[in-house]
Amino acid sequence: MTLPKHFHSIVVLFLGVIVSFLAPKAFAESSRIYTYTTQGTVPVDLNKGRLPQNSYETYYLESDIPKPSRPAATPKPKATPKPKATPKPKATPKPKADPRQKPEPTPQVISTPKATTIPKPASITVTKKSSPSPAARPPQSSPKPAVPPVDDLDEYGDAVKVADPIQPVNRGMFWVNHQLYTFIARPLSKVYRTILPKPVRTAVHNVYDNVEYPVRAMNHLLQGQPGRADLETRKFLLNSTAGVGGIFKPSDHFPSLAEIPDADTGQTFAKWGIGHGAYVVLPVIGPRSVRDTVGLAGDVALNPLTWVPIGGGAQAIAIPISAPNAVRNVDSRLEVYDAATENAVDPYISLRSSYIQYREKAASK
Amino acid sequence: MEAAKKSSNTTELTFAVRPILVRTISFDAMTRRAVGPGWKQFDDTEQKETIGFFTTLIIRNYSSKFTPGELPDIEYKAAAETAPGRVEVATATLYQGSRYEIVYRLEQVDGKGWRVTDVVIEGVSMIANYRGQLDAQFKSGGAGAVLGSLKKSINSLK
Repeated sequence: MTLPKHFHSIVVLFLGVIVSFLAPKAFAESSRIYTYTTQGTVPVDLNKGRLPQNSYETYYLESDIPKPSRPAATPKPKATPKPKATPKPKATPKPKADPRQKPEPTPQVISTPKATTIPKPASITVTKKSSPSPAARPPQSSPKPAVPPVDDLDEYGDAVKVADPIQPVNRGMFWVNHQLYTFIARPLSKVYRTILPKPVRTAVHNVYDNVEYPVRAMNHLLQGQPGRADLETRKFLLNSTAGVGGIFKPSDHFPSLAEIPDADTGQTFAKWGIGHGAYVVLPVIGPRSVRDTVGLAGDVALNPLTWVPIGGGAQAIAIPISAPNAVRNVDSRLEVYDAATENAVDPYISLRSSYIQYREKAASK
Repeated sequence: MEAAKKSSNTTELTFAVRPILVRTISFDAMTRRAVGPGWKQFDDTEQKETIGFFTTLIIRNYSSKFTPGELPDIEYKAAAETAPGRVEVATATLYQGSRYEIVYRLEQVDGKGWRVTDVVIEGVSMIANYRGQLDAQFKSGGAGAVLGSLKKSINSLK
């Protein structure tokens, strides 16, 4: 029996059509698919077995997500498999390749905090859209899986880095501040806490915090966050009216108002890409970086409490207005100081580390 | 929570929470990471001793954040998987009128299930904080300096 002349081509075409229809569905339903986000590895919600449309994300099979291994030596980057050219059957009028089954892009190499390199999973099997490729995208938008190896001893090696070129001077000022806190600030704080019960201290804190609204609102705007500035304004108006001049904080009952991130000028500089510069310990104030020291000047200028003398008010008015705020600041500064140094092996390094981590977190919000 | 309620001072609280924290926290992992790569140069005895001292220090540190008898109001947020076998559980904690963002880092520890390996309070990682301190000690005098500094720190708290 002789087969028709184009029998092989017809068979290949037929199989190709079946595979292109069935494979994605079977693949999607039988496998869990993940993508990387800033939150880590998250499963993808499939819509009737299909990947999200108009997405530039790269998707991975569950089996391709790297598993933790022990001991966690830095994995060597695997040889980058070059996308193979798909051989086209001669004279076969093709089943058109599904775009999601295109050859993988060149695996990216990401940097972990300790500057070792970890290859992205080599067998990327599912990629939506060919352009722009993940590798071509700017680093900010590329998926950055935080995949530090488990039990990596150096995981926190670069967690807190700041230049401290004048450490001997800083340690000297740290010692001076410790004496000031011990012999002046702590007794002052004790008197403050004895005279004023907790609810009154909270009210004092609330009033001054409310007055400092321009510092936060202006910096939200400078950081390109008009929405937060708007929320900050609503919070200020609510607390100033229903909260009786800021004594109470009815805004705490509204999650959107209660959870507005703080904003200050140093943080704005950080958002603009300005680094810490050197670490310094200021008299009385304590830990700062050069960037945040300059930012402090901006905060002072934006703080209405500093406008009183400039606005024509006499010093006699300014002092009673500012004095409780100064005591409040001393009290809260002591709390932070104690939290960072009480159980420390080296209180100076502990305070420096706490300050830098806290500011990094603030800048990332 | 019951332990915190029954304790009348911080020392009592520290003793009361210890058995609970030992069950939920991987002090081994915490100590290794707080010391860093120098850990490999510790012999078995030094490692055991360091873990013991560091456990005491961490429990005291954690307990000192709370006033006995006053309970926090904790709102747990969705856990995020940061890597296979690792999650971060963020919380909004209201304590003594102030709101804190506390993140618990957990890992699957061999044969023990999920264990806390770090606590991050307002962006400040407890382990990163100790890492800077202990690393400096190790560089200045090896395992002996690390052990000596931990002993000194614990004794200064007594």
